[in-house]
Amino acid sequence: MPVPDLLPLIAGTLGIPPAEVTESSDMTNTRKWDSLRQVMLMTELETSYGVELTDEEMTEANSVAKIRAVLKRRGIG
Amino acid sequence: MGGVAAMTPAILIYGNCQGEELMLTGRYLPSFQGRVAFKWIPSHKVSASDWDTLYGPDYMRDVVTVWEQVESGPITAHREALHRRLPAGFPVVKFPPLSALFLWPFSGNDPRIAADPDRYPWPDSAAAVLSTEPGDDDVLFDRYMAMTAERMPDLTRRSRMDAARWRATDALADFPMGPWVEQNFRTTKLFHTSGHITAAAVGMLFKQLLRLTRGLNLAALAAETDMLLRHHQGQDFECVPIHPLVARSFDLTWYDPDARYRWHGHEWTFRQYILHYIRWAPYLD
Repeated sequence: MPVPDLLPLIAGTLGIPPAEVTESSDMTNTRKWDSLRQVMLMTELETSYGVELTDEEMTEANSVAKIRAVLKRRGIG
Repeated sequence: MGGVAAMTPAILIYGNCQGEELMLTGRYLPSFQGRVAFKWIPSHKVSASDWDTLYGPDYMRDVVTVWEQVESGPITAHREALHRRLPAGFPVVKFPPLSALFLWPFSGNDPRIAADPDRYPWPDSAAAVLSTEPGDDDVLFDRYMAMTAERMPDLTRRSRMDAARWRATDALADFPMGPWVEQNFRTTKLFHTSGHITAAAVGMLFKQLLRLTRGLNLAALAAETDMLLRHHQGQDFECVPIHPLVARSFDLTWYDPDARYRWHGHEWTFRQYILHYIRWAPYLD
């Protein structure tokens, strides 16, 4: 399965246009990125990248930068 | 025109669309007719300018109590705007939002929603993958069932994740709802979608709010609430069907594999809903 691009995946999970998600996007500055979508996003990351996140990562990875850091620790990106 | 003394005291609800259900429940309760009014600020739709126009200083004049739906995560500018309008010690009852992703484990990425957010707003990432696949109904549905069976996540873990989320919001509220959901979701349908609730959940939430609101006769109001909601379906204009493997995994006693689920003006089976969703089929004509 090809590795999907992160920003379109985030936008598609939040249900917003891809242009609204940038490298500086996070839970506080991005439309529809609430606690419910955060869980949805984390489970989508698990499915799409074939990883299993810890409970702490699921809570803390609430920005594009932090998500990239989590994925990098798994050798992705 | 009447002065302050002539105003009907109002309960202001700040919350998502579940707040609208609570507002309507309050408005139709016989004991509140002419005595208590209900108003709602939709926390998920409010804009910055609304605080100067729709919800300016006059908006709060008749408000005697606020029912505030909490949320975990950073405090938003809108919540701060609400708090700025409340004098110190103003009566506020905080309640948690109700949501359940674990019953729809394929909630996830579907790029079509951004361009067309109202057609099928509850994402199904597995169905989205099949959206460009050829095939007739039987082929597509069989592929969906095979794909979802193969990709079905650990549902127990998913339910634990939701329970953790409920604990986080319960901790911010004046009463918990998570334990009640955990105790009842198997025997009573509580959710129409991951974010829309049935009348059973509306009633439970409403009665908890009444219980914590000063000056109300809870016993009478609770009975009226039960009567009012007896035949109500809750937020049922969009009902996302439950996957049969999810129903089996959680032993949902209310689950009916042949159930027809309301989708606006339609009633669809699970199979019909999935096929409509995969094809992003129009349904309003």
